Amino acid sequence: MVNISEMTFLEKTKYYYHKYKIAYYFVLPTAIAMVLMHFFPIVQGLYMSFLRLNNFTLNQYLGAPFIGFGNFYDVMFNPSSPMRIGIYDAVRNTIIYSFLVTIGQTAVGMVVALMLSIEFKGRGLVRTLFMFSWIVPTYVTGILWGFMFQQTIGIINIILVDWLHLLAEKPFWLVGVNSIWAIIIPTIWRFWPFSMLMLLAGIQNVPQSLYDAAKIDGAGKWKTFWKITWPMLSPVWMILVLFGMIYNTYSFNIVIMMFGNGAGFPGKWGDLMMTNIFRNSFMRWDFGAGAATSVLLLLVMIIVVNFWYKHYKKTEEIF
Amino acid sequence: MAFVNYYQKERILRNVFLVIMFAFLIINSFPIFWMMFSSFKNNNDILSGKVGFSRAKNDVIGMELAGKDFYVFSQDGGIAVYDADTKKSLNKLKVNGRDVSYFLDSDFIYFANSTKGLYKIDRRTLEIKKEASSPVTGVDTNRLGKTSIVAYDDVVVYSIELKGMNRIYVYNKNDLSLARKVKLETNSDSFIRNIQIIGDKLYVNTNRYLLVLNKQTFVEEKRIDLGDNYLPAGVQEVKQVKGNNLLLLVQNGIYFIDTDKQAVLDVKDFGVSLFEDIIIKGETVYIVSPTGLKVANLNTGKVDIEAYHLVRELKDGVVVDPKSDYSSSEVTRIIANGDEVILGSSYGRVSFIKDLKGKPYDSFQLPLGHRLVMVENYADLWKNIDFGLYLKNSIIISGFTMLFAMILATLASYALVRFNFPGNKAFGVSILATQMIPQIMYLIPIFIMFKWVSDVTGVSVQGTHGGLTFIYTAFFVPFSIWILRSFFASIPVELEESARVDGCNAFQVFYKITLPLAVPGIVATGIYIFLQAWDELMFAWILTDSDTLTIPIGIRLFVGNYQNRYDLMMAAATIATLPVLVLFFLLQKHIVKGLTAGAVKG
Amino acid sequence: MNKIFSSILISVILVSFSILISGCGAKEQKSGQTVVTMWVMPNSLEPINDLSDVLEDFHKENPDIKVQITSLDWGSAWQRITIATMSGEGPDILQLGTTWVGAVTGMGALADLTSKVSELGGSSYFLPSSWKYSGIDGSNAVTSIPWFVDARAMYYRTDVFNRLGLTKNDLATWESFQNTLDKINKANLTIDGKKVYPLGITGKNDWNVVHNLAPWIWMAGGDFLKEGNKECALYSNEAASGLSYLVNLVIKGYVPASCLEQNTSQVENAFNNGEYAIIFTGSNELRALTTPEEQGGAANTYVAKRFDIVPYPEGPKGKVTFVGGSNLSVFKNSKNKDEAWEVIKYLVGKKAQVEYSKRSGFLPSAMEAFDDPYFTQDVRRSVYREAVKYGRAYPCIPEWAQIEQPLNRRFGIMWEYVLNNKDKFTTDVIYDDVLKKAAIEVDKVLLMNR
Repeated sequence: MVNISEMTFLEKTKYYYHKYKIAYYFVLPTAIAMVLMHFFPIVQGLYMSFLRLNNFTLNQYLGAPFIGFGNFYDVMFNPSSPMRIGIYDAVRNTIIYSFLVTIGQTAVGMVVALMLSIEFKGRGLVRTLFMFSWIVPTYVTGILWGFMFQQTIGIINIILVDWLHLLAEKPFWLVGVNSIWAIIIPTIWRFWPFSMLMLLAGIQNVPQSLYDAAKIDGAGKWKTFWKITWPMLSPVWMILVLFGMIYNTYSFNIVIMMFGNGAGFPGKWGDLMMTNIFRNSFMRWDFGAGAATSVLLLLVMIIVVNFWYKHYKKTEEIF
Repeated sequence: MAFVNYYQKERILRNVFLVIMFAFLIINSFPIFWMMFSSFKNNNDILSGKVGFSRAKNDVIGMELAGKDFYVFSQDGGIAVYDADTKKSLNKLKVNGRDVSYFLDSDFIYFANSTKGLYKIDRRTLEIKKEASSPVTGVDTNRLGKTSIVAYDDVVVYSIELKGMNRIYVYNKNDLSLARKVKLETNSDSFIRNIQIIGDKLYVNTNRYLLVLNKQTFVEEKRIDLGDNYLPAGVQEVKQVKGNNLLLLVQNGIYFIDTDKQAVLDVKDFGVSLFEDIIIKGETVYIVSPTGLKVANLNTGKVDIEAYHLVRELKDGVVVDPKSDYSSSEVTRIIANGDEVILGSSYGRVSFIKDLKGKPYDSFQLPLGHRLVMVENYADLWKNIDFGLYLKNSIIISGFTMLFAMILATLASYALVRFNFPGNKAFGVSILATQMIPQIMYLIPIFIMFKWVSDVTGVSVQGTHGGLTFIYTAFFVPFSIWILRSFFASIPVELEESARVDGCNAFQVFYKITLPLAVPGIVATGIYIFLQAWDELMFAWILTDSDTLTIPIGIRLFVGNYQNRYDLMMAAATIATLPVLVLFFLLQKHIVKGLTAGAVKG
Repeated sequence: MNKIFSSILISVILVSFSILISGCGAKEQKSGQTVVTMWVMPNSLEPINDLSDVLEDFHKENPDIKVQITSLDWGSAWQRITIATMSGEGPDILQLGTTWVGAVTGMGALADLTSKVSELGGSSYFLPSSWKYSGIDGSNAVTSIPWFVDARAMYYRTDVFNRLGLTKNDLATWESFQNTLDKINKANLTIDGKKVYPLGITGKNDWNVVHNLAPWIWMAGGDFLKEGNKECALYSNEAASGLSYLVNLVIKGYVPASCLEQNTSQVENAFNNGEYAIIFTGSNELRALTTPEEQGGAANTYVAKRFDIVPYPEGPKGKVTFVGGSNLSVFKNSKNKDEAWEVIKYLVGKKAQVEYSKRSGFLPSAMEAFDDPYFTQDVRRSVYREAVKYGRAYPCIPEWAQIEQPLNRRFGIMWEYVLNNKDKFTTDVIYDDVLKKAAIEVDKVLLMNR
């Protein structure tokens, strides 16, 4: 046994290199790609948030005037900055959206997973058919649901009003308050099968003996679910919730393709953080402020994830 | 309920569950079904909110009286024979297609459409005797227009309206084989509107000239310049009145032409804004326009009768409001039969009129047109924009991304799981951390870096397949590593240890023992990466060049400022979805196994 | 099983490889030929085909130049131009919407074409209203050449008018226009099985929210920016009265609510299908109504045979229509500036202008193209010939594109409000909620850039 603690730094490096040579070789390509495509750009992106990078200084790029925390001040506290136009709507919508979508996709996934855990003929095929909505590309999801949500000629209103008579008159989905539902529903539709797949695998892994024991104790279905299935699945759904939160906060494709196919303003109730940043960066050419908003969003995300991670670590050790 | 024991209750509950599940399955699959269904619809139907497929229009395009037989031709390719006296249907035939035209001679009906070609049909039995495919191939069906066909002596002459096309096609009458192509001298932007045979002359109408050809040799004898006539319908029909004078029916008026002088003598419009058809009886001209019939004196231009009350309002063959003066059923054709006239109109209405001031004394309805299932949408997709290129680029980029990212992720995740090397934890955490950065932040820096690379090395990366593949690889590797990590962790380490004992080195252990076991996980990850790369939008918008554009860019071209081609957009969406759907269907077992390894282990 | 899947995998890889190889082989380029790259937006139904048709003669005359056309939708074109400016890497020729010219010129991305314009006969060669966009206001530098013009006019159904005894004189002023709408509304017509609504206008989901409202603001005497382009002029009684006139048409029920969700081409389609008696739109609608259905038009519809065109109704401060369109510019870092100029010169020549107008439906920017029989012979097309004369454009300043964003948003919110709170809507709402806030936001943008 080699005593590592007595070695010099160089010796240590040499020792580890020899011991884990293959591991380092294996990791190297990924590490290079990470540094090139993640590290360098993100450093530039962070630096951009300190610059007054707008349409007049665009061609200077990183040589644009350095204004310290000016952009951050503008975004957060300066009421007369154009960056703040509509940011309140975007923040509110993003919170509602990512919260509801994450809950929705986990809940729908859970319900269908429970149904699919019943044995019946053709179960594999049904599961595959359920997965189909997860395969549809997100840009198609946006286009397709935008197409279906149209007020007069959209099939959703035709079914709801003309066929089923559930509503008195055709509601607007792509204009006004309903537009938040118009983005939440398709997103859930697109992502729930993944949750279902994970949860189903988890359910099938729960030992049958636990259920048998519960049955002997006389516990009902409802109780069995909350006392056994749900806690046993916690590692699965906690990860789903984490990734759901991250992805939904940064959701862009569905929203941008649904309203005017990438040109229009999604509306007071359809605008999300990403579309807001996108508009400020590429249509108002205030890249500095756009980058600053992204950085703020990133900070919020790190805090949330950290909080989640701490809580999660208590429940189960996975990393 | 006392009799329902535990097991019965279980079974009922189970069935209720299954019913709910299948109902949900149908609802959940509905959008995909609707996308595919809509891609076969006619754009106009989509825009007017029709749920099903609409029918082809069966407007009357021509009527012929031959003895006791009364032939009616409709726009949807229908041929119907009626008894001229009793108005009883005798026989009918349907040749589906668009831009229909016909020519009737003593034994046969020569019939043409723009999509399929020419037909020789027995006049009495309405049997198709011979067929010939269209001489114009490889052209976007959207660009093809009206066909025209005439038959005389032993030839059949066919023309088709297509911009820049200046040929007419001559077929042998007997077996419908292509005998020759006649090239005409016209402008580069002109097209042939129709051809007609009158006497021993063949008249060819283009949107600019009236060409008079010798009917045997097809040599041009005369041409009459009608000036720039930009109206969409152009010349519709030529009628010879007396001597060398010709009448030419154009959409906005009747042109009087002196063929000897090759000049337009006069243009009269009789107060009609849109001419559909005319008949001439001596000095009198009967003019049909969408709203009705006008009878006027040909020479003085004086209008004698205005009969706007002749055709009842019809919609899909149903009388909507017979009292209304405004008919939606538009008169399209007129022929004379002794002292009465017969009017053909849209929605397949044929009316017989004796007293022009009264109502039709008799009328009948043609059969409804066929349902329009637009399979052509898929062909037009390729021709309207360069969709094939977009599809190809998407496949190339996603395919290579899948390949490279799979290799990188397999190696890295194996190292992360099996070796506790210094930096393992930091590497793992930083990889997950990249998932938290909004992609929009990368956009500009990466573009600038690409430009810098091409400036320094001279190797162009921006706007190439390679450049985009590289970015995607770097972007989708982290999550792939995360999936594969759980998968590798689920492979028992004991196997490797025993291989070690057998004398394999570290690489051999990985290659020979672990890798084969990890195939399902790797395949699943690969498909996952493919889906992600296929789905990517933001980078593709700005980092692609004219020959590396991908589907997300192409798909947005269909709905924009100036056009709403929902039909093509849905077809494009279907094509964007199908490859991944098929891929998933084929490999779904592996995908499920690979993706859920982490959950199962948990 | 593993064998099957690995073989599928291998075949997928092989297929993608072979496609890659064939894709590389397909790049044909004759030696000695200069390739001029060009970015255009979907201006017509088949953007690339139509432009290549127009360029066919150019390629014959200049065999050593090849124009490579890329068609981009407006959204991604916007981003690409931004990034091209930043990196200095872009196409040789780019199409710019007129409202972008100021911004992109301000970025310093465009080559100066001032010295070359004389080859065309100077600024008088172009329509005055479109020449306004050739460079930034107040500077003489020419950075972009007007390519085509988009002017709006009013389309109405002659059958509806005949039936109600109305003529086009009833569309002459704001007052008579409103009376006409009222008559059509009261008549409650159903023609061809469709209820005819008096007016169709677009709301929030259109691409040109601001362009659609601009004529009404101008006709009432309002304006967007004050003299000197340093301050927003929207917070005024004139602008409010203009907007409220239009909004009131919606409130009074002349415009069906569903229409406000649609974009311009949807409203045009609804008009073609007989749902509206009147719409306001550009000249490409005329092209659609005179193009056969088989070629993507609507010439076969009931309405196509029963419509006419007149200019906008005259407001308190005269008749104004919005004039937009697109310009062509040469990218500053282009390596083929001379060849690019040749292409532009050809495209603004009379023949190409008329040809492109026939295909896209837009109006030419060159004055002499209007003398072509295509415009003189057709009665309806000559309405547009008139309309461009009293056309009005936004100021061409670098900030304009940025100003349009808050305006777009604010007017979008206005339409949402109109839709949801029809009863509560008053002119005060426009004045205090829409225009005041819009003016503050525009001023913020102007201040930021000063």
